[in-house]
Amino acid sequence: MATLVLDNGACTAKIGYSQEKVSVIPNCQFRSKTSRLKTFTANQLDEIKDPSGLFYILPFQKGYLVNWDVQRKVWDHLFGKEMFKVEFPDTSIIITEPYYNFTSIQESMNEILFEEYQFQSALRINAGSLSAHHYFQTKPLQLCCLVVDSGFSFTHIVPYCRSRKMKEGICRINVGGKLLTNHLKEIISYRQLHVMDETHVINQVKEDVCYVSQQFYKDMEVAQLKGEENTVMRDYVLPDFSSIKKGFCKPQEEMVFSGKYKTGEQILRLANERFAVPEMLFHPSDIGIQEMGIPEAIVYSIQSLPEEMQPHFYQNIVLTGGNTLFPGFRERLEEDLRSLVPAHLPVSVLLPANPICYSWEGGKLLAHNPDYDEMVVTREDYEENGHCICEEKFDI
Amino acid sequence: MVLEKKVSARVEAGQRRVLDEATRQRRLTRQLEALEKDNFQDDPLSSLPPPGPTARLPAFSETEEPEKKKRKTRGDHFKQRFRKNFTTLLEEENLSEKPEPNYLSAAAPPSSLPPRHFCCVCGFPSHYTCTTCGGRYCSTKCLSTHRETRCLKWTL
Repeated sequence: MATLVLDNGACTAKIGYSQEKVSVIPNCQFRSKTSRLKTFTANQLDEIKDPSGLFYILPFQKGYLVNWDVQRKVWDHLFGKEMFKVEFPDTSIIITEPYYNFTSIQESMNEILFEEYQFQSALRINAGSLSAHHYFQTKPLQLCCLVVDSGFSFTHIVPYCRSRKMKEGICRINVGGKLLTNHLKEIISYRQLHVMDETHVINQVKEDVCYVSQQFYKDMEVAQLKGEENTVMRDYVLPDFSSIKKGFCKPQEEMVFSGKYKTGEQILRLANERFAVPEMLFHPSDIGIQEMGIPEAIVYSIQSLPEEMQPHFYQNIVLTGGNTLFPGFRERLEEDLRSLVPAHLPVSVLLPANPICYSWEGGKLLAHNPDYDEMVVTREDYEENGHCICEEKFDI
Repeated sequence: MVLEKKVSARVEAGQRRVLDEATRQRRLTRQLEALEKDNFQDDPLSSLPPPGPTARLPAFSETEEPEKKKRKTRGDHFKQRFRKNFTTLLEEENLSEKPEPNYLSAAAPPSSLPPRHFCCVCGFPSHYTCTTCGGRYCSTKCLSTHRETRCLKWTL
């Protein structure tokens, strides 16, 4: 029997059979200005030749699955002939859900997996639990680990002890990649060029030029300097989707400090935006969100746990989710934690090679675990006992 | 040429409209809500005229039976309960009566660090506050830009 692992994120779905490799696919639908009648699903995004002004239809709201209509279309596409060719009666699925997922969403999920698609069996689990499983598998000597999952909708900090999640320590910061992109869009639109409709393009700008500053106020000073001394400033060449398919950063030797290029490309000039945007993960109060930043929230979460366990958590922090890919993220977090945590406790932060797919890989490991068959709910179980059996077995 | 005398910001402040704390808070909430939006433009599909014969019907044909919705048949699993938004779902969970920890109690509390201030025009550290809206600015240049463009935006 095959096992399909699906880390169903609010922005991208990480999907693949447990014997194979993972694919990262947009978990949404799109409409484009150029072909207005057609709706594109998931990776059909690649068919759109001119993705300027791309219109998004997302199944998630604030990190929770609310639009099943869209989600079904995306799943139909993923499970169908064009992609994973799922043989439902002969397939087990591992699917992820957010922490504290609402009861009604959990019940809809059961119904859709067992009644609509008719999977042979299913395991519904938090993405962080898969990450923790991955961590404990690679470091079998460790007893505790703290998963920091900074994704599209929000950032979660979750302590795990021997693969059991410690609910009292879960902490959520309502800052995620979506907010960062929207904020970048907002400030660019105000300061230089109207890009409010260009989520797709500006998200790429964010991924290409933003970084986490190690010395925030120092970088602020540098970003204010004129000419060559301003080592923070970058000129970003926007795509026109005819000759330039993808935006890119102008190489520094080609930069013209006056900003007047003769080549006729459309340029965005970015200075403090490069690091002020990711800074919101560390200081949400900078834009008026009255919440702790990641380092402070980690300390807050760990301090709510039994004292004798606390040193273990500081030593086993693992980063997952797309935001942790900002250059300098890990170093800054470790630095900030170092100054917050008592000096005699060692602090260690791990950034895995692929933080986006870390939990998917954890799911892959779990599928090969001898206990896996004990953890799932089969369709027979569900038909016999309904939602109760799922509620009993799955710890969401 | 008439030279305009520069009026001190403090003197001038007495004559300007000053937003109260509640309005400022509402403004901030609206700004933050805007950052949650999926799209800022209209759906490209909605800008097209409705497809099919309905578009070509003459305006006086009101007596005709209204066309029945075709979509209704497609899959009865898209029931009403699958069409709720986040706020409704959160209300239905009735979390205030459920034991902690839950979704609400998991939210990170406010930071114990003092807030940092940045110019709402250029984004650099700022020392001054706009007397009207409470926004931050760093120089007279940014202040004038702010007054011309943003000062009372998002205000109702």
